[in-house]
Amino acid sequence: MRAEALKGHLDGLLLAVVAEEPAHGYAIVERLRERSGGAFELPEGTVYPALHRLEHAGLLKSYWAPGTTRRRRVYALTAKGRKRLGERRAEWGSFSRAIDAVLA
Amino acid sequence: MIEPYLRELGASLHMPRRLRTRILDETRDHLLALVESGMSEDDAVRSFGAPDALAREFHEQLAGTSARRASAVSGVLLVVLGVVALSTPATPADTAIAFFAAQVALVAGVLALARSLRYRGAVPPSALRDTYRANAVTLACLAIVAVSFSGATVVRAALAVATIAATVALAQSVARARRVPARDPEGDAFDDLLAFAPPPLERPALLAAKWIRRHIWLFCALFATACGLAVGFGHIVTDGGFSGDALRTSRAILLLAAIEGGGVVLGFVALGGVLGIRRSRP
Repeated sequence: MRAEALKGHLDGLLLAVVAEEPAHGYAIVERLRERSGGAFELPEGTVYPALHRLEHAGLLKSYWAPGTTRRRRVYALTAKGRKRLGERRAEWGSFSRAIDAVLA
Repeated sequence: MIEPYLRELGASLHMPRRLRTRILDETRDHLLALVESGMSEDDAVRSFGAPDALAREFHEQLAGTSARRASAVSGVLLVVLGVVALSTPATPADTAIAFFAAQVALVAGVLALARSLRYRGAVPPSALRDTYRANAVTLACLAIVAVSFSGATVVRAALAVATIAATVALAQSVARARRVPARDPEGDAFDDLLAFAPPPLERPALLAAKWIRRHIWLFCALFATACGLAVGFGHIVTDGGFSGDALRTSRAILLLAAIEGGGVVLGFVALGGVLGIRRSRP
């Protein structure tokens, strides 16, 4: 799936992936790919501006964590982010039901 | 391949050093993780995306957050000035220009805040120009109002500091917006305000906005008349009451209403386009 098609949904997808457990950028992209069955193939770097934006909006927080060979920036969901994720899920639910009703 | 890529990305990132270092460190970690997973350095770099495209996305995000910050600081200055104005008795130094400037600042400031708060996280590139223009008008008008105050030194000093802070925030947001490729705005001021209409009022607000867009000059005339009458009657109520001479009182109301209404029309003509109130839509 092209990155452009994902653009409007990327924030919600990132929140959902980070909600499982805090993760660094590489793991986030991996999880996105795995959970989408390989459908979400976007340039790896694309997630970072989005992660920074979400952090600036207070939906994510980040910190440096020591790794085995180098430190890594880890992102975690905030309470505000969890609330927003709930909203996004509800919005997507009603949107997809409406689309289904028309297309089916 | 990784270090040349990072050098190219670093050269494309125009932002505070601390943020640039963080981005480069995260990028390096990600690229090394790709290589550790079995990918060649060439493929890792290719899969990460072109440095200039990535830098552009960071610049857009940074410009969007700067625009929000500038609007917030202008909004604070607007509120501070409003409180000071209401708690300071009018003096002969309060000129008509300051009075009009305060009104324009209020309209532009509300639009700047609406534009910023409408978008969660960051203002998108298509709304950057409208946002910094509204902030610039707000700030220019607030500066006129601020210099007209003849209050205590501490109040004037606080206003000066707040004005300087707003100017710095605005300058930073403009500088960052200029790093983002220009995009035409996707809507007008009414679209920004409609975003805040509560669900029960969405439909009537939408119809009202549609009517205003179709009859923009009639709206201008009605708005100017309403403002004029409000100022005229407001003057009678707040600045002396009825003198007992009905003819004289009526003349005073009409004169003030005409001056205020004329000012509103002039402001609308001069700034309606800049603030996105008058805008032809596709």
